[in-house]
Amino acid sequence: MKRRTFILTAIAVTAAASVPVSGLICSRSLPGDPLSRPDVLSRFCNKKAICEIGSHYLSCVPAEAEEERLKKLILTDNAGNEAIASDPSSIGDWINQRTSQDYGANRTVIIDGWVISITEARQCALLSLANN
Amino acid sequence: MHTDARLIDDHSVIEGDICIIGAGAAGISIALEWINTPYKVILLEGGGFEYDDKVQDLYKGKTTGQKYYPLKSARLHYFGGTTGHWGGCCSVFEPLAFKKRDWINETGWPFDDKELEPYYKRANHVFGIGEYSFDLDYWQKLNPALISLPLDNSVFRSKIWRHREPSTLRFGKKYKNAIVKSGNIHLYTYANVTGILANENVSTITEVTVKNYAGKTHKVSAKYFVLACCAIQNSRLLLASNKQAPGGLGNDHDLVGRYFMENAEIRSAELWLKQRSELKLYMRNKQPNIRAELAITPQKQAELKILNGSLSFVPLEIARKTPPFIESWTSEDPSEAIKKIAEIDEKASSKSRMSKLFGPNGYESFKVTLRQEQAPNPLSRVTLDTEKDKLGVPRASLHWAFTSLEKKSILSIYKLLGQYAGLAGIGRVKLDEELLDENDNSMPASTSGGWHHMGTTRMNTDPRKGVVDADCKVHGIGNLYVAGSSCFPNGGAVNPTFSLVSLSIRLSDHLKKTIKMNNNDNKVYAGK
Repeated sequence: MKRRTFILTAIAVTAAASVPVSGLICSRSLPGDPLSRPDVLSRFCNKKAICEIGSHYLSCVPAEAEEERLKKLILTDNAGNEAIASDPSSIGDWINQRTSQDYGANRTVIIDGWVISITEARQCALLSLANN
Repeated sequence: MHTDARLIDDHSVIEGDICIIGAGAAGISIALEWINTPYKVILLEGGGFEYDDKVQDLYKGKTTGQKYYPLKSARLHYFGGTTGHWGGCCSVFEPLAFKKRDWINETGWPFDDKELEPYYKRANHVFGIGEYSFDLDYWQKLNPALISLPLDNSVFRSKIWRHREPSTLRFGKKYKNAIVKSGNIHLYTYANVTGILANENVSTITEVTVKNYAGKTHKVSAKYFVLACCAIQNSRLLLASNKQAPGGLGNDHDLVGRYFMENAEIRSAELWLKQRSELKLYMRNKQPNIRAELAITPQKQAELKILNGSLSFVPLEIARKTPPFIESWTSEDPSEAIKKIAEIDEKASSKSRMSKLFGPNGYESFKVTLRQEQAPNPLSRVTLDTEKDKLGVPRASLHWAFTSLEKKSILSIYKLLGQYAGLAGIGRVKLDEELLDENDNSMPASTSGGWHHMGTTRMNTDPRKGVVDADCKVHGIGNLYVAGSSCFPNGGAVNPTFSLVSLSIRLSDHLKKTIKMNNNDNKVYAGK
C-alpha cells in the first residue's frame, strides 16, 4: 500500500513498481519496431521484463495507455517537433537522441528498479500494449 | 623501553612528562614523534604484543539501533590496535569535509583542509605508502590503462585511494622495535586504564589508574595526558571517569559519546554496461597500488543538499556470492570474523577467475556500493552499560542512528549514477528493491559499516558544541588531550585512518610547543 502511494504521488519525477524482476534479466536484444524496443535496456532485460516495466509505467500513467498516444509522445520532442515516421533507421536515431535528451534533462523514472528515461518507459509501455 | 605491567610491583607509581593512553595508530604515531626528545613519554597499552582474548573481552559491549558488528570484534586491543587487521586503504578528506554545509546539521571543522595538508604528508611517511599523491592525472599518466568512467565531470570525479599490502601496515609489527628500543619512550603493556583522576576542581588531570588481569593496580602521573584509544573507548573512559564529574570528564555539556559516526556502506544498485569492462581504475591495482571510487562533486552535493559519498564497483557475479559485511561479520572473535570474510571473498573470487579464464574479458554488470558520510547526529551515541568488564569499567553501549538525510542521499546518488550513465550512453542502473520506497526513511537492512568509528569527542571551538578544542584539548581541562577519529566533527566519506594519524601528528606538534613553553616551570622526567 505504501509503495502504491509512492508510485501515484511521485510519477511527475520518478515512478517505481513493487514487482521485482529478479530472474528475468538476460542479455539479448529484442527484434522489431524501434518504437517498442528500448535499445539499451533490451540488452539487459528480456521481453517479459520489458513488458512488465511498460505495464507498471502505464499503471502509474493510465492516461498514456493508448498506442497512438504513446507513439506520438515518443515521436514528438519537447519543442513539439515530430519525427518523420516513415524511415525506421531515422526513427531509431530520433529515439536515441530523444532518450539522451531525457537523461540530460533528468526526465527519468524508476520502474522495477531501473533508472530509465521517460522515452524508454514509453517504449516499454508500447511493447506491453502490443503484447496484451 | 618496554615493561610488562603485570610483572612490576603492585601499586607502582609511574611518572612521565606525557602519558599516551592507547598504542594503536594514533598513540604510536604520536609516540614516534617523541623519540630522542628530552622528554619521558609513557605509552600505555591494555594488551600485549599479540592478540589475547581475555584482553579483547574488555571491548565487549552492547549495540542497539541500526544493526552493527559485535563491539568486541569491531576493533583490536593489543599493541598496534586495529591496524592489526585493517585493510590498508588510505585517502584524504576533501576540502568540503572541513566546511560548514548549511544543509547538514552541525558540520564544519575549526580549520580548513590546508591546515591538515602538511600533516597528511608526514602521515604518508608513517604509513610508508610511497609518493604522496592523490591526484588522478598523476596515476593515470603512470598507467594509462586506468581509465575513468566517461561521466559528466561536473557531477562525478574519480577519487584516489592508496593501498599497501595490509600486512606491511600493521603498526604493531612495523613500529615495535622503534618504540621498544627508544630510550625515552616507556611502553607499558597490559596496562589498562580504568579511570582518569583530576584535581579538586577538575581543571587538571593528575593521574590515571591502570589495572590488569594479574590483579595489579598502578598509578601513572604526567604533565600531559593524551587519550588515544578508539572513538568508542575514548568516550567510554571519559564517561566512566565520573567520580569527580558526575557525567564524566569533559562532559559538562552532555556531548561525550554523542555524534558517533561511521562510513555507512550501502550495496544497493547494479550498473549494467553496454560494453563489457574491467573498470580497472575502480578495482584494486598493484601497478600502481591504487584504486578510485566515483565521488560526487561538491557543487552537485550542494545543489542536491546531500551527504558526501562515493561509489565502488564489484563484478555482479562476485557480489552475488558475497553477502554484505553486516551479515557475515557476526563473530565476537575478531580472527573468526575476518577469517569468514576472507573465505567468502576467496570462494567468490576464484569462481570469477575461472569464468574469466573461459569467458570474454571484463564484466557486463557490477554491484555498486555507496560509501557514505554519516550526518552528525547527537542520538547516535556511545553510553555506559550497567554491566562492567572484568576490570570494573562499565562496558560500552553503542546506539547507531541515522537521520533522514542519509536515505535521501543514498537514493539521490544512485539516481544520479543512473541518469549520467544513461546520458553518457554507457549503460543503465538498477536499484535494489530496498531503496524503492521514498517514504521509508530507514536505512536498508544490508547497511554495513567500514569499522570506521568517529565522533564521540567531537572538535569545536565552542565548549557547548564540542568536547575538544581545535588543538584536541578537552575543553575545561588544561592537560587532557584526545587523539584519533573521535575528534572528527564530520566523518567524510573516506577511510579515517590516514586522517586520524595526520591529526595525531598535528596534536603532537602542538604538545611539543606547549611543553617547551611551560618547561621552565616544570620538571623533565627524562633520564630518571
